[in-house]
Amino acid sequence: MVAATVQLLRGTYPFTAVVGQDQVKKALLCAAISKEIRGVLITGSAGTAKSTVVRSLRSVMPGLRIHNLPLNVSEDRLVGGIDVDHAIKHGVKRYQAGILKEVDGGLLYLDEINLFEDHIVQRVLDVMEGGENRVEREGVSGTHECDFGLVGTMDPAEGAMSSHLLDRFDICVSMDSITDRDRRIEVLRRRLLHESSPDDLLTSHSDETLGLMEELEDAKDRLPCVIFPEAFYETVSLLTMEMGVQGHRGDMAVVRTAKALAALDGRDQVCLDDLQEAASMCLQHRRRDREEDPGGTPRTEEPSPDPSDEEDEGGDVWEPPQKDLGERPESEREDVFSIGDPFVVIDYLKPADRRMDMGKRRGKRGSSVRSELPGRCTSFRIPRGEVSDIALVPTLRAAAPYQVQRRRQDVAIVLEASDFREKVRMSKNSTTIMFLVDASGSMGARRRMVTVKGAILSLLKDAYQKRDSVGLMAFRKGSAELLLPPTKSVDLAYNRLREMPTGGRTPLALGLSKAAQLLSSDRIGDGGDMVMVIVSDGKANVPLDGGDAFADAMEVAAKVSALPIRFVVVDTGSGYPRIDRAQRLARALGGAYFRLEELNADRLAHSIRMTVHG
Amino acid sequence: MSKRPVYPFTAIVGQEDMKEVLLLNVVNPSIGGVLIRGEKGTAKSTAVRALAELLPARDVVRGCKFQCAWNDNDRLCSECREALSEGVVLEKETVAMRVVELPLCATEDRVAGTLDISHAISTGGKRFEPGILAEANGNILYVDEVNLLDDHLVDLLLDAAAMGMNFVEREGVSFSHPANFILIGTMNPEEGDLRPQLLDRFGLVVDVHGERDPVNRVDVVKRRISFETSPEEFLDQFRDDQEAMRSRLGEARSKMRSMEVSSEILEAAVEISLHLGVDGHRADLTLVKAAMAWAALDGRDGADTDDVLKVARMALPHRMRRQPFEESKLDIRGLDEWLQQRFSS
Repeated sequence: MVAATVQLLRGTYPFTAVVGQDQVKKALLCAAISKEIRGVLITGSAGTAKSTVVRSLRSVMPGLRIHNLPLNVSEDRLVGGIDVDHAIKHGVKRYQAGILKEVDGGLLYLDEINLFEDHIVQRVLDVMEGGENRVEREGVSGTHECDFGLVGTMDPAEGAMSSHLLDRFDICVSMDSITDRDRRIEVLRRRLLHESSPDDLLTSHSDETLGLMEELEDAKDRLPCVIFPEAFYETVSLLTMEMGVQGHRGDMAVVRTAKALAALDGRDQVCLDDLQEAASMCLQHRRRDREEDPGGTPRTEEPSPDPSDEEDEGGDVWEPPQKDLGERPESEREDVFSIGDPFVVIDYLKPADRRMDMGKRRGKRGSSVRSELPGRCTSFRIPRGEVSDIALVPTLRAAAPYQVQRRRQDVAIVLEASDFREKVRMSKNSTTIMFLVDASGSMGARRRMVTVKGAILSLLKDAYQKRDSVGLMAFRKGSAELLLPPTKSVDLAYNRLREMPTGGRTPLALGLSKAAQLLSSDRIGDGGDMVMVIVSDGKANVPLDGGDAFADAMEVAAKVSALPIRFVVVDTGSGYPRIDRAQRLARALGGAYFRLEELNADRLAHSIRMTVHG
Repeated sequence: MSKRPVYPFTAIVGQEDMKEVLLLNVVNPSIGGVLIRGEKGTAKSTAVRALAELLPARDVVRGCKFQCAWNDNDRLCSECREALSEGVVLEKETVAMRVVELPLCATEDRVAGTLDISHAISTGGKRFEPGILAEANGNILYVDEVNLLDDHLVDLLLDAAAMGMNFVEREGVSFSHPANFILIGTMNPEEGDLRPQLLDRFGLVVDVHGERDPVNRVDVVKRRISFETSPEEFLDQFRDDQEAMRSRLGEARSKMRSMEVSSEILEAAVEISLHLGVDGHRADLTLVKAAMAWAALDGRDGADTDDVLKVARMALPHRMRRQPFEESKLDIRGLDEWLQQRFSS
């Protein structure tokens, strides 16, 4: 029996040999026994064995087909399209199904799901929810039933998933980082054994594996009979409301998952523990008031060292005193403030007037559709005007049905003008973001700089996930200094930010003109978007040549506003009465205006909710 | 086809760290490759290309375009799988391991493979045309300036590295083949960062600097010039050294194969990772494998804590951060002190 099991499972990592990760394993088992559970998302940082766990599922469900969806899958292979061979031979258009047909009855696995193109993930989710794949493309239509489980894994550090996609996963759990020494040694020992002699590892876990297999069979049979007590429905909706979950998907997910959990436990009725467990799997990622970023941050067992209560509207953040500030006047004092807590940034670079092509909203904001080279080919279309960038495969596909009628002499395929298709390319114009930071003494007041640095760090993180270039310029003490020329290395930016001193007077006009000069020089930007983010309270007090400092700044602003640069002014002013100088600056620049607090996605959501609900 | 002469590995002056790290990967390919960080002109590319001469031969399926590893039936290309299921006996062939380069400007279809267009046009049939990932199977995949690689190519690499297979589902082609390679990348950190996920895929990392010793500097230039003026003569000079290195590597590989994993090194590896707060398990795994390879290269039959400590400097610096922006917490001096205290008794 053992030998037979080992034979059957050869090549897989035994599910029962995965150390810890109880919640992730439970979630996968729920999905494995219940067809009702729609989508399991597993988050965790790199190297935490996310995909090992998913793939090991096969070891306890030998019949299960796990279909790996490659990142660069094209839509025609996913949903199906014209059957080229048939078309050439018989001159008849016929639908040929794609991966979604192959995966019917199995499990579809999307590793790095946050890196897939949105429309692919959306399509997969649509088909999974509808249970049917309906295709209308390339002149063919086709429909087939489609019933599959969906598992996605992602590393949140590589970019978040949009919340509406996130909401469509019934379950979202995160990998634990194992910090217990002995358990970690066990992980390592098993992994090494799996690599050197996989059969031995399978053999040593075969009893557990067989046991679990049996349990799963049993649970599968039991599931249709599991009773969900009537009274619990109300509990569930109270729970979801209390957690600030929108919509009803969460409620349903909890019910379905709780039933699966009861079945796994060998019970015929859902109990309160099931509900609790199901809620922690199904609701965390739907909370709108949660602190962590969408997609969930990897859970760590250690408590966070930073006290993160920054509720004080004055903008102060608790910070241990660093050095004696002395009695010198503010404008001469010089300090290096530490970096405050980062947060999730709102999509601050998305003004209403910018056309959003292809409905792409997440990540890589510089994506735009154009048909000239270069760029990554994402789809094809019937050419407009002269064809230069032929999409050969779609062209062949378009020509296929007519081959029977056309006279083929010495060639296998005859192409006519009407067959030609051209490539639609998505080029990534990288965005260059220059941060122009006011590092004058007024920014140091009440440790405002700590919060400001935290905000800039958040903006840098955002830039990293969107693969923008970032530069950093600071103005203080009568000069504007380029701390970092635009680079893709946000690590460098981080270091410069950390070291950036604060103190002195505010030469706003000078900073503006220097930064604009730099951005408009040829070296920078290589044709991509250019953005200047000005982080200041607008209290200029160093004029260009002896006039009024703020008037100078406004004059420069009016001049540079004509440049092909988008401006964002982040007002760091705190307290009341609010001085409207930063706002006036933004108007003069024709740019967007945000108050520092408004950049924080969570806080913004919070304050909007407060306004709505009174 | 006349082969261009390759500068011999053993003739490279200095850069001991880089050479060691590369050799460790030859001894145990599953260490997971190397990231070489440093400024231009520090013999990074020369060393990687020179490594080709020292690579072992390997057994592959005869006639397979993808050079599927012979005797690894879990990872076969679609064609070999089909042949096997039809009862064909796969024959063995021995080929040399090579260094395959991935140019930065490569297009997605050339990397992953695509529909064979000429075949499609001349016969109307569908056939898969292998790409660079197919060529790299069983070999070294070398990416110069890996930090400048386009995002979607990085995605392809990550996808292939995750499973050791390349799955192509594009433009009507559905094909899979093994893509098991040693990834070697070089980068100049000032030109940009590497995505954390790709970073984590590199087993070891080494920082190289230009040679500072004036005597060595002169040597570097002299050797280079004499290689360029009369490559044949130069190669002759180093023939014995190269041969000695090859046999040393051969011995190390066989030692590695029979080496037992001791609890001592497992414990040392995990404690170091935990002390430094490294999250994933790849670090632990690499520490153990690299320590064993190190011992084997040193001619010993077993690895101990000292070996783990030696390789910690190469296996950990790039895994120290949980987030893309946190400062690297690896303070070599601090680590040294801690290691001494912890393991000196």
